[in-house]
Amino acid sequence: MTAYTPSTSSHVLDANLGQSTERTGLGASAALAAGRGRAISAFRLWLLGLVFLGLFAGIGAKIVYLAVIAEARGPLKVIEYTLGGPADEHRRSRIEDRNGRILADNVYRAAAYANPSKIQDLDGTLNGLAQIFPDMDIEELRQRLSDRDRSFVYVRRGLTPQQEQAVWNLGEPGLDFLSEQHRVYPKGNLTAHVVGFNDIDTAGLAGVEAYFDKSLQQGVAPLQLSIDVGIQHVVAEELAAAIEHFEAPAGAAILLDAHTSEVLSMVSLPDYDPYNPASQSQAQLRNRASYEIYELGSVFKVFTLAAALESGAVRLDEEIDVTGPLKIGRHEINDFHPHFGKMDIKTIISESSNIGSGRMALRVGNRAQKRFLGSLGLLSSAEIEVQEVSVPRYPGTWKKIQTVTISYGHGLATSPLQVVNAFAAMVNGGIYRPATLIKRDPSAPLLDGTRVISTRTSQQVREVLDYVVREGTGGKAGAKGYRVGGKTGTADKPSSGSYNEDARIASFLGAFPIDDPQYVLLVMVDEPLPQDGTAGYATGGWVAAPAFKRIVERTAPMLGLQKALPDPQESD
Amino acid sequence: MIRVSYILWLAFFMALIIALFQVKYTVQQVGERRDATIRQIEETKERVRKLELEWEQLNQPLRLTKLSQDFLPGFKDGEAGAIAPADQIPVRPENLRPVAYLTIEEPEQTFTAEALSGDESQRAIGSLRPIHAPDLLKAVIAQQSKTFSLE
Repeated sequence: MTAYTPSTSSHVLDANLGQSTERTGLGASAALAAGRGRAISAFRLWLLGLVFLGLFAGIGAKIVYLAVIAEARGPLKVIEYTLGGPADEHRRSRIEDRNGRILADNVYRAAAYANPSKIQDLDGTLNGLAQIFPDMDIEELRQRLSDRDRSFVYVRRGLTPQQEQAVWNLGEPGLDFLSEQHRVYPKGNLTAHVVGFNDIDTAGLAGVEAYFDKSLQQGVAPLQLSIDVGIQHVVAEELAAAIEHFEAPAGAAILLDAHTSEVLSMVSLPDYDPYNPASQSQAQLRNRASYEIYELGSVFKVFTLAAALESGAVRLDEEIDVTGPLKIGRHEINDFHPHFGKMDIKTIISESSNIGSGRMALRVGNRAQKRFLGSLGLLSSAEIEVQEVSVPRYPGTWKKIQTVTISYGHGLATSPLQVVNAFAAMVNGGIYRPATLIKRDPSAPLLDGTRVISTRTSQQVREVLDYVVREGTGGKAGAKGYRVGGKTGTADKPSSGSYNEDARIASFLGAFPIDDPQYVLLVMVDEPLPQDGTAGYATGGWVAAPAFKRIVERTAPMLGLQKALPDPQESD
Repeated sequence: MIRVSYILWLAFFMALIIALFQVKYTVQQVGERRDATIRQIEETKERVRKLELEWEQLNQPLRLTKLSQDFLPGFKDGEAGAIAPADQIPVRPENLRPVAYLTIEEPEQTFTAEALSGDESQRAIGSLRPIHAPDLLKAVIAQQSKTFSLE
C-alpha cells in the first residue's frame, strides 16, 4: 500500500471521493480512512484493468495462434472435418466387386415438385410438362395440382439435366427442384440377383442392397463384394448359351473359392433390370441360385460317398452289388443304365448308380446321414448375405426309403448355393466354411471353419471325381489344359406328389484343378430339352458338363491358374 | 489534464479494435472462401463420381465383348498356358532380339571416329548415341545376313 499513493485527481472516481471528503469535513482519521479507501478502489480498478487486458491478450494470442501457427502446420481441424464428413454422410454406400469395379452407387439428380397454391398458369404449365414428359399422365397431375390445400406435389423425380433445364425454362414460380439421390447400377442385369435393387427412396428391397440396407444407409466405406465382374460375365454368358441351346426356361451357376467359400460368381437366369424391377416377370425376379430350392439329383452322391468313406461304412477298393431293383418296402429303386453283379465304388459314382449309392447310404444309416448333411448346412437356410434365402425341404420322418432316395438327391430340396458350398468342403481337405458374398482380406488368416471329413476322405473323393470326368458320365466337362473333377446330376422335377420324367434339372458340380482344388463350380439348367447331337438326352452330362468345361477354360486363366502338364483329361 | 498514458491506452485500444475488426472480416472472408472451396470440391467429387459411373457403364463386359468382336477380329479369350511361372517362360531366340541392341554391340560399323569430335568420340564407343536411319538400316541388314548365315 505504501509503495503506491495515487493522487486525488488521478481518477475521476478518486476525485469524486476527494470532493465528498471535503464536503463532509471529516477529521484526520476519517481522511486517513478515506485515503485507504481510495487506494483500495484504485487497486481494484487496476486489477480489473489487468483482468481485461489478460482476457484480450488471451483472445489475441489465440487469434495469432490460429491464423499464423496452426495454419502453418496444416489445415484446421474444422476444415478437415467438413471435407471428409457431412458431405458424404447421407449418401448410400457404394457397392464394389472384388477388384473395385462399381456395382452400385448413388448420384444426385433433380426432382421437380410443385406448390399448387403458388402456381399461376396451371394450363400453360401442364402443356409444357406434357411436352417435356410425353409419358406423363397430365390429367392425373392436373387433379393433384388443382388441390390448393397441398403445398407439395412431386411432378417427376430423377430428371436428366436436359429435363431439369426444360422445366426451369417454363418459368412457373410454383415449380421448384429438389436434389435427390438415385441408385445407379452400371453393370445392369449382370449382377442384379446379387446386388438387388432399391426403391425410389434408395431403401434396399432385394439382394445385398436389402441385406445390408442399414449399414449402406450410414454411408460408410464402400461395401466390397467377393464377386468378380469379369468371371460373372463369363459364367452368365456360358450359362445363357446352354439355356438357349437346350431351350430351357432357366438356370443357375455359382463359382466359389474352394477354401474361403467366397462367391466369385452367382448367376441366375433369366435376370432382370434393376432400374425397373416392378415391370419384370416373377420368373426374372426369382433368384434360382440362393432362393429357389431343387432336388438336384445325382450330384448328392458325392455327399453319400464322403459320408460312407468317412464313417468307414465302405472302402474305396470295395465292391457293392448293384443288381436291381433295390426294394425298400413297397418301393423299388432302379438305375438309369441297369447293371448286374458287383461294382467298385469309383464306378458306382462314375456310372451314377442309384442302387449303389442307396446301398452305401443304408450302410451309413439314416441318423448318421442326416447328421452329416446337417453339418454341411444342407438342412438349414443358407447363411449368405442376400435377402433371398429359403429353408431346405426334407422329409419329417427320415426312414430307410428317404435315406436311399436322398443318397442320390431326391427327397431333399436345397438351394444350389448350399450344394456348391457343401461340395467345397468335400474337396478342399474337409473344412466347411459358410459361403460369403463379402470379399475377405487376403492378408487375414482363414476362418477356422468346421471339419466335416478328414483330409484322407477328401483326397479319396477328389480321386473319384477325377475318375468321373476321365471315365464316367462327366466326360464332357474335361477342360483343355486343366484337370477337373466333378459329378453329373439329372433329377426329375417333383410334380403333384410324384416326379415328372419330362421335366428335369440337369446339373454338373465340379472342382478345378482337381489335384488341388481352388475353385468349385455348379452349373444347373432347368428343364432342358434334348437337341440334335445329344442322342435324345438332356442329362447333366450332355447339358451342364459342356457349359462347365467352357467356363473353366475361360475363367481359369483369369483366375491365374496354370495349365496342367500334361493334359490327362483332354477330351478332344 | 490528459496524461500521456491515457493517449497510449487509447491508441492501444484503438489499434486493438482495428486489429480485431480486420481479423473478424478476414476470418469471414476466409470462411467464405473455404465454403466456396468445399462446394467446389463437392461438385468436382460429384462430377468425378458420375464420370466413374459412366466409365463403368462403358466397361460393361457385354459391351466390351461386342466391341472386341467388331473391331478386334484376332482377339479371343485367354487360353490354358497363357499363365506360367517365370522360369517356364522360354528365352527369346537370338534372331528375335531387338535391333537397337545391335547398334550397341557393333558401333564401329555405323560410326566413324572422324565423324565425331575428340572427347565425344571417347564417350561414344560402346554407348547409345543418336543414329541416322540409313545407318541403322545398314546395321540391321548386316546383322540379319549374319544371323541367316549362322542358321
